[in-house]
Amino acid sequence: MALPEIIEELFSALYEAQTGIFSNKAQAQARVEEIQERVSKQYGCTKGILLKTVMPRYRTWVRENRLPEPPKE
Amino acid sequence: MVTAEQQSLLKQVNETSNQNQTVPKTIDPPIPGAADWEVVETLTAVEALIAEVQQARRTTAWNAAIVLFWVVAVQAFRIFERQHLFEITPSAENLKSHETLLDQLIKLGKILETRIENIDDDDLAEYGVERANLSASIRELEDTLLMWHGPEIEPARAAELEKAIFGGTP
Repeated sequence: MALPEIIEELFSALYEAQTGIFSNKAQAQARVEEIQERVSKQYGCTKGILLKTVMPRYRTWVRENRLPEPPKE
Repeated sequence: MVTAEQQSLLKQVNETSNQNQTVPKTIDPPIPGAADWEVVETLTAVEALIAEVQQARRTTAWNAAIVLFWVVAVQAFRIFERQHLFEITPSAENLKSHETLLDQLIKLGKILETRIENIDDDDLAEYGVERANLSASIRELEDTLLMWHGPEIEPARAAELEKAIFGGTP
C-alpha cells in the first residue's frame, strides 16, 4: 500500500541527503529538516521519535525503490 | 730651528704613525646606523610575515585534506550500511558496528568543525570544503543515529504513532 505523500517525500529527501555528494549536503540536509519539522508537527512527535518510528518502513522503501535489484536475504 | 733633515725625519715618523692608526679588518661587521637598522627590521618583518602566510596556507590545506578524508570515511560508512543493514537483515554485530562507526564519525566531524572555525571561507573553498556542508553531514549522521539507535519508544506510543502515520498498512 502507498505511503502517505509526506512520508514518501521524507524518505526520498533522507536518501538523497545520505547518498548525495558532499558539496550538496547543506542544501539536501536543509530539505530533510524542513520536511521532518512538518511531519513532526503533523503527527505531534519529536524528530527522534519520528525517525525511530519510520525506520523499518524507510529500510523497506530503500530496498524497494533505491537498490538496483531485489536484494537476496 | 728645525733643519731640513729633521723635517724629513719628522715627516717619515708621522707617515708611519698614521699607518699604524688605520682600523684593522675585523670579523665583526661595522655597527649599522639607524637607517640600516630600519632596512634590516623591515626585511625581517616581511620574511616573518611570508613565513606566517605560508604556514597558514599549509594549515588550511592540511585541515581541508582531513575534512575530505572524513567525507570519504562517511561514504565508505554508507556503503557498509547499505550492504549490511539494507541489503540483508542486519545482525546484532553489524548493528553494533554501525552504531560505533556513526558515533566515531560524528565525534570526528565535530572536532573538524572546531579545527576549521578560524579558517577563512574562501581559503577552505579553494580545497572544495564548505563548513555548511560539513555541519550538514554531521547532522545527517546524527539523524541516522537517532533512526537506528535512538532511545526505544514506549510500545503504546509507538503503536499509536505507527497507526497515525501509516494507518493500517503493514
